[in-house]
Amino acid sequence: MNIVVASHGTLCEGLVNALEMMVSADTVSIIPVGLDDRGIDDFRGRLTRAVEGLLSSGPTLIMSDLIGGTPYNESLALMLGHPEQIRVVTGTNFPMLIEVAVAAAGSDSLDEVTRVALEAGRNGVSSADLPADGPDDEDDLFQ
Amino acid sequence: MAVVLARVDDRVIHGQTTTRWMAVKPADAILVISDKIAADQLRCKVLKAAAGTLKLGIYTLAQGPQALERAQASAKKFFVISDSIRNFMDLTKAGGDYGGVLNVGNLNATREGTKNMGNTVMLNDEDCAALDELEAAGIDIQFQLLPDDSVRTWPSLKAKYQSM
Repeated sequence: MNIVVASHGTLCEGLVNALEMMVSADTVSIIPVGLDDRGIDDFRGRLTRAVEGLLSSGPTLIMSDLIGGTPYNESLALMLGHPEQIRVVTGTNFPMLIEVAVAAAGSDSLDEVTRVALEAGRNGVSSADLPADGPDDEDDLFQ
Repeated sequence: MAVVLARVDDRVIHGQTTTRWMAVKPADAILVISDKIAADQLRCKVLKAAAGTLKLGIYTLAQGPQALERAQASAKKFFVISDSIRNFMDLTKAGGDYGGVLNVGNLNATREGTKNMGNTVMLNDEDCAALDELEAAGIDIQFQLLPDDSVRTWPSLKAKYQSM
């Protein structure tokens, strides 16, 4: 399946750039589309061209950054025009993108990849705990 | 086999290891074998946090063969990671058994006299000598950063190194 990352500014490009450290570029192609000071009409045009260009090759998941923001709203408008072929998720973070990239390489199911996105996105948010002092118990390690 | 992945990686435990390699080769625990890391208390703590819910053992090279023996006898699955090729050569010479296959991932830290072999692998003459010895010892050396990268072999990279 196809993936489009839609965001404010260059967040989408940064996420796709970072992804290349985690997933081979030839595993899955991900298109970033960012809202910038060229405005909403220009953004809508680029997003529409990107997404509609992909639909002939399979369903498309649009990963947006902020619920209710312009990238999300415009993605939603595209989904309403092609409800069977487009799905939109929001709150995209790096763990979500990594898991989606891997899942999308092996699946054309929007339901399945969307489930992966939501689970990875939620599980990826936590705070760092102070590790316990000393090594793990050896018996615990090997038995 | 109780060791599911033996890897040279100078970033040791990090995102590629925990998100990508763990997904294709699930393991219960990670064994880090390196004198340099074992002597660095702060680094040990950070690695402990990086391992998350996985069990972690950190060993010196002298302790390595015995830790590997226990791993091979265990029903659990292990990743074995060290931060240099030389360390794996020393382990191999000392009789350490990590399954006969050695994955090489990140070798990008600043070192003397390295040549950039691409895909985050920098090698110097000392690395090459260690790789030759590992190959002579029958170790299957696989240069592969991510599970979805194709495997590069030592003979092909050696030819590249010598041509640079």
